[in-house]
Amino acid sequence: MSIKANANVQDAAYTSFYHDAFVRLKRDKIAIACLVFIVLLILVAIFAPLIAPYPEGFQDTSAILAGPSSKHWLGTDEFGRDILTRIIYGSRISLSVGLIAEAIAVTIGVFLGALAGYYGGKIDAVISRIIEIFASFPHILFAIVIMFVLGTGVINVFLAIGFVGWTGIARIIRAQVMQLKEKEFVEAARASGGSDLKIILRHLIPNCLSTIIVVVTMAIPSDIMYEASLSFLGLGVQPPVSSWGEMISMARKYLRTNPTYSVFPGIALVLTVLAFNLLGDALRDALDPKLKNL
Amino acid sequence: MLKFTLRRLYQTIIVLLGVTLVTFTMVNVVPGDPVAVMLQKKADDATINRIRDQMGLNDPLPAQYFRFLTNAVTGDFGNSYFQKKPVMELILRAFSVTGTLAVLVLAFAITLGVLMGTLAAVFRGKWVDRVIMMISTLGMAAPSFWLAIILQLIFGLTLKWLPISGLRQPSAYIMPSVALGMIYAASLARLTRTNILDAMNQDYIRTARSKGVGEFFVVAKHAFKNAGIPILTYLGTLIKSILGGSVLVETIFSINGLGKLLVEAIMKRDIPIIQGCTVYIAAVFVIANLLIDLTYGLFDPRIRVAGPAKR
Amino acid sequence: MKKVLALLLAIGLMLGLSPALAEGKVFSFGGAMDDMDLIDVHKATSSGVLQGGIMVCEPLLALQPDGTLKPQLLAEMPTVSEDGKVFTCKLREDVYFHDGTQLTSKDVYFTLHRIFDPATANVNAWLCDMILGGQDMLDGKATELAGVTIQDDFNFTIELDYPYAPFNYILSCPQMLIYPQDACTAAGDTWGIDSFVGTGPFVFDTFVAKDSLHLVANENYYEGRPQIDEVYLYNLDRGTALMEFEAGSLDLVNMDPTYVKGYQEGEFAKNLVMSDLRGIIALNLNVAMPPLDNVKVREAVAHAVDQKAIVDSYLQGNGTAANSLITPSVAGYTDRPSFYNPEKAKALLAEAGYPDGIKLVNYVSETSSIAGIPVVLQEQLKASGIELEVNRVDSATYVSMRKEGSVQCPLLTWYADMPDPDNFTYTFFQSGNSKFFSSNWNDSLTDELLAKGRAMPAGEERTEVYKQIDQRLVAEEFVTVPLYNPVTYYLKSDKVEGIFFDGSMFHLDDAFFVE
Repeated sequence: MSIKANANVQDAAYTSFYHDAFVRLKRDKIAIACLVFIVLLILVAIFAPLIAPYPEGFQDTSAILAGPSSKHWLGTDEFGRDILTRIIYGSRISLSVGLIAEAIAVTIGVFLGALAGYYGGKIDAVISRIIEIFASFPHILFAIVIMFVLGTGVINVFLAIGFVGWTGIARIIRAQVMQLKEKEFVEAARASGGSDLKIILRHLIPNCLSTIIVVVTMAIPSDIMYEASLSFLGLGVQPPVSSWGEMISMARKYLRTNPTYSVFPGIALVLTVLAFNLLGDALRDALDPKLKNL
Repeated sequence: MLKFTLRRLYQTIIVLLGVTLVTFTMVNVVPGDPVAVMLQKKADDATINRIRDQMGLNDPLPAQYFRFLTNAVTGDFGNSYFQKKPVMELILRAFSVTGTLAVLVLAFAITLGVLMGTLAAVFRGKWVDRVIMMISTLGMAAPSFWLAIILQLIFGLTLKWLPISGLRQPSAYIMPSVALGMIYAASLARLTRTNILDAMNQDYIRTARSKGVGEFFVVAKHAFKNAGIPILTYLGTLIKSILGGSVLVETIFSINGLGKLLVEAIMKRDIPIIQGCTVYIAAVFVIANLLIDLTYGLFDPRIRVAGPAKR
Repeated sequence: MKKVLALLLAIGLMLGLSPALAEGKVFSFGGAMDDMDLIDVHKATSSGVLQGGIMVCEPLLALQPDGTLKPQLLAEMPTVSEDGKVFTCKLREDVYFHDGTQLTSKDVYFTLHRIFDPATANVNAWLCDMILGGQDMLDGKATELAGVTIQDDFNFTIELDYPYAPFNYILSCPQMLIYPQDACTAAGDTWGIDSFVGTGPFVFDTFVAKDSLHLVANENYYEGRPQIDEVYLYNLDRGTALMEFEAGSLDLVNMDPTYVKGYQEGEFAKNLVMSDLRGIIALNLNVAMPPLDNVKVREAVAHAVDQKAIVDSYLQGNGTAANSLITPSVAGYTDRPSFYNPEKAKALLAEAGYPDGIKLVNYVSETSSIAGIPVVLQEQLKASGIELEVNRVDSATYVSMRKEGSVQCPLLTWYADMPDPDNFTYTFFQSGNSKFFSSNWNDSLTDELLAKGRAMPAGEERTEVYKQIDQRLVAEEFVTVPLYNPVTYYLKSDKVEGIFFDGSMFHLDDAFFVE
């Protein structure tokens, strides 16, 4: 009975906490602008086939590496493909990389971090060493190797980036769970015979939620950059799928012929990363000011 | 202190062993055969097998790993399959390049970052702050390889102020350092600003200020000391990123650094170099972290033993 | 803040404005030579390695600008025995290596022996494994090379396992440079890295793997000292090399055709030189992987490809549409029209039992300079109801897959070692080789014709045999769809003249600076 009441109090506390945070966030004009930008980007990605002037792989053989014109607003690439179309479709990759790769990273990171933090002792020592091993590993090597083993392709890019990025969040969750597990409500749950798994899933992880949201938002830009880097190395998406990183990489060859080719996907990338960065900042200030050093 | 150092040392060895095991597993599950790469133009199974035999690649895997470990302990990582030189020599040569570059990147990032962050904090809310924050936000969002290309176009090709590629003159270090360091300078600026602002709200600084100590001295003496720890922690992450992730910029500027050495080795399956590089990079990273942990004491004696939770 | 910026700028200017001023006639050559790991031509296949090698060492015979051969280290062209198996050679008597030792027959024997010695791990031995006893040495069945006999210091014979008409061309390949026995043995593992001695126009000075090679003029070169004093060979990223050329720090840079459009007009148009590459780009169809085991399906694919559109659009005219496996300048070439006809392709697919079209899978190495071609084909084949899945993979994975014969429709990229039709056909479609190039073509008639062509002396009759082979592969069995003959470009500074590009290597022997 008392536990249930306690949980209700907790729930109420959550609700008001997130409500307050939302109020704080709403006051931040820049954050709202970023949010609007991201929502628009998501809509563009979802409705890409409706918005884009051409099909994704369409090659206009009469306009190879053409500059901006009324037919192709941002010009064309080396195959005569419309750059605006490719940027619109490319948003799908950049956004899903953020979401899917982070989902993977969070799952692994939160799980291992919580285990280490909750049990401490030997389990902590083992998990901490694993975290250190993966953190001290050259990330790019790891990502490339995963791409080699799984083969190239969109899904595998997501997997590679997800598997690379979990160590940071694991460390943060470990530290936070270590602090939380000493709190009264955890003691209470334990006293009433809750299993370890239940305590971790029902009490500890929900309490880390705001941290997770902040960390994820702030990690998305680096994931987008990772995808761009992998694509730059030629290990990213497969044709005819387009990605901003791949476009910049290819455009580099044509700097003299069509300089704007490298500029537009670059701008798209910078704007998106910027929006996520600023939104992440605002979320952090609103939800979890303790994390300001991230 | 001694006990702490010893424990960290023991952990370091475990981590390095783990890194070798992970690397060894990885290079052996990856498809692709260094010998097939060597024979790219034309090869048959018999030739490939003959050369694999000569290189010891057909031995059982545990035997190969054990041989690698026993040699590695003595600092011998074998010879590169393609460059036919001792891996250690190649790594040291690449490291002298990457290391120099890393020092310059660090110097650039710390100088610019801390300077901009401090200025922004001192002039918080004023236009100086806004401009600096805008620049640093943009700096964080621009990918280094894109920046490198743009710098090359402007300063190398159009203005002809700096050499476009290579590191044959001292001035050639400027563009790669800026391209690599911009993102770190930008994040450091933001980090410094937040931490100084935070520190300036602390009681003892308010006291100092109320005593009429000039704003500049308040920041310099008190706030810096407190803002130091997060900045130091950030440096650990930074060092690894500089050492492991600069392959794109190295490629663009034709610099034969560690990143390029490693990535090219992966592409060709030059296993001795891959193993040597990962162990080396991991060692540098772990040691850098160790040193940073020990340095915390200088800033704050309270955490001399435990060390704060790292990212 | 301003002061700091000003200071940085000043330092930058100071350092930037003091480049080392070159003394004497220094020639700088740059380009993407990623595989310049060493310069021993026995241990690598890449053009960067071979380019370094040929400036220091020389082969027995040399290719001339008109495509014919001339004796280089030999005093005269070899005389061939009646059965076509024994090549009798005589060395020049006035040739000295850079270390002062004279070139003699024992150096030739040493070099050929080293090629087949398993301890060398030579990667180019396949090129000359028709030399008698070579294969036995590779297999570890012999320790001496049976096919090479030394008569005296300057006379020797090379005996082949079977008659091989284009053998003279093999003796001119950059993989067949003659090394000095004493210096090479003394250098051991450091050969081609820290030390490299030859007879050529330039003397090895320093080599930094993957970075640069520095050579100086051979004062005592038997054909006269070259006019260039020093040569630097730089390995640079493709785009970076071009920028360096524009900035005036390189005299010669080779160029991927994808970059060419930016240089065809304007300031550097006069520096742009186009050269035929003597090669073929084709789409191989793997007969072991359904539905390509059905000749009707292969015929359909051949009818779905528009060679002219590839050349005109994506390649911007930088290449020649090809409909023969053999390049036009080589005997055996057939000038046939393109099969391109999407309607017929669809009809053929329907006839073969695929009225709804088929799906094919292509793999291509992402580092390949032709990685864009499958993307063009992907869009082209759509019109004929063929869906082409394109997978860009790293080159090591690609080579492994292709070697297993498990790529369904790989691109064949071939830059010929010599201007002989054997090099365009036997190399890929002989039943023992076809798996490595993922066509898995195994046809007794093709094998028979290939063996016949190898043993025949050059002439009408031999040309006819290769025409038959080409016809069988391209127009009857549709095992391969020729796409185009590639060209290459390079940018050459106004200051230099006399550079000879032989279709794969640059020769600077006669290059000079214009006053």
